[in-house]
Amino acid sequence: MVNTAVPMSRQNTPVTQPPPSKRRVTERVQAAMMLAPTITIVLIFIYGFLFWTIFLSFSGWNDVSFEVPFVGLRNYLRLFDNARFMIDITNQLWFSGFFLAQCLGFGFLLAVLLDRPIWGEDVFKTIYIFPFAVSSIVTGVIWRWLMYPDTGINLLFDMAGIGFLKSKWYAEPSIGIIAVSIPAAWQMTGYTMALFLATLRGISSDLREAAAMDGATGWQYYRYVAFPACIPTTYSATVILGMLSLRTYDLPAAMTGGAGPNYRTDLFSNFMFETAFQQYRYSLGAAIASLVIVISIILLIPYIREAESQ
Amino acid sequence: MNRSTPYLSDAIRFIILAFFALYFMMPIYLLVITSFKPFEDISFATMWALPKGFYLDGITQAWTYVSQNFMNSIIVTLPASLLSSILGSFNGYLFAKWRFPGSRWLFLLVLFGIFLPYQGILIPLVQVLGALNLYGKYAGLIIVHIVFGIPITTLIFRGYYSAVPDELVDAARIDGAGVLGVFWHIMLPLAMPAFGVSMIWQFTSIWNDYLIGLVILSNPDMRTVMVAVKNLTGSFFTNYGAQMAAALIAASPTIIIYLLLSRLFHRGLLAGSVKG
Repeated sequence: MVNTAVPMSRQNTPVTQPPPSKRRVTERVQAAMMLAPTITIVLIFIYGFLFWTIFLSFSGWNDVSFEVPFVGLRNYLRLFDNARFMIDITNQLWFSGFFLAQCLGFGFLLAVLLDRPIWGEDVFKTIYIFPFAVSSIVTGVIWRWLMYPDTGINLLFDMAGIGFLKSKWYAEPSIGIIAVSIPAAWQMTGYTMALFLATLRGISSDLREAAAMDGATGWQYYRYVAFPACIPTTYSATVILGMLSLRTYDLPAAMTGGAGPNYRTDLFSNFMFETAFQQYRYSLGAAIASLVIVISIILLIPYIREAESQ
Repeated sequence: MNRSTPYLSDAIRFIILAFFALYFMMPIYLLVITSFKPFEDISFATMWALPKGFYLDGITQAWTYVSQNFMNSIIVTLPASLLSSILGSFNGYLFAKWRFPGSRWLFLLVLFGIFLPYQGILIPLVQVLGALNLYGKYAGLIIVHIVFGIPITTLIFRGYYSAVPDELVDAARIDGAGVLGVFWHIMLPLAMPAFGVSMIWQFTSIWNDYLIGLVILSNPDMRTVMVAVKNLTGSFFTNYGAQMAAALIAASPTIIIYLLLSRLFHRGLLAGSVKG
């Protein structure tokens, strides 16, 4: 059974054998005690900080005073009254949508094409995953010039005689954020391909042979065996890539300086960063961050339930 | 499936794959050729032309901009990836081989730290580091990278140790080894490949980090290399050639690791996502 939706290794056999002796109990207590220090710190840094951020979002704290006055929903009301935040919501939807579509679409296509052996397979895989090792800042610097209106891709289009395809890319307000999603997907498509390929290759050869014995053609095999097996992978890839798109900060920063023309490449993370760390409006920044936290939790809940049920 | 079953001819598959390979390499090609061009050849009109020779002017100039930052990144990345891997190897062992009531839930809680939206922790992070007198210090950034690295390293090692037969553990216990003894004598010697995977993963993500380094290290002399490269894009006294050369310098450690150790990298990729 292929299932990559669960971030756990499946253990069918119990790790320890009953009955638990006194020594065994002592050892387990020891193990728990040894885990305690680091795990406590990790949990505080993750969950403690998340809760503290949410708490701050209901306050008027501004770093000047020690008081943390409770202001209810004021920060949230300000946020939804803010034109820039409205632009950000649209931007974030377009960005996440196009980013996911490219990663999942091309990643899946490449995995299917690579499923059966082909000459140069290892080279292809190495090339596709390569951008994953390149930082978002470096990616942003390269694509800043690739998408520079006076040269780069536009120059390539001119040289190929398809100049009508030219675009101002990130400098064009109407499509700026979609242009930014292209290098973001350039980085993560190979990774998505690797996830799908692991699933396709994980389909047991028994199942493949059985399909062939039943007279299934290549297409039928993919339609009835391989594609259904990829559904859990698609789901987990969507969660991982969706979370990634929510916290995207580096790439637009390196390409357009963050906000871009008329805030057209502005994402939640950039707005949050500027609000909290450049304008020092911590509680308002915390409100943006809290909304991101809530969206993340909503995305993750089914994932957690799936993992828990195993 | 029968190999001879046709669904797409190999030639068509190869052409599509090669087209995507060109697309994925195009930015890297631009990065490399631009970095080795002499300054006078850096122009918008000849962006795609190969350099006339092998010139190091751009790299040399970029190095003077970012050399200090490159060293700063090494100072942060090496100890942080090593220590988070060591802690992950220990935690992964305890989670894999010594289940106690609640250990499963604890592991799930830790695991979801991998998906952490960084915006959600930055403000308290700055406050707490300030209170601990670690804000603006390498030690502070190193500690943060270690803490946020523990979920993924724990997952990598837990997956690895789960595959070690329990009989080995039991045999060692009969010989009198305790929780630590089993780790030290049985598990750790077996874990070297997992260390490779974990170190590569941590090195890559910490080296490539921009946001946390930007927030925690405010002193310009202490900036990490990614922060320095980003800042070059906002300055007017460097042309795009110098920006590219600086970007190539900043990217080279992770690119070299990827090309030399792509097999281990690939395993981290899958361990670090959804498979256990």
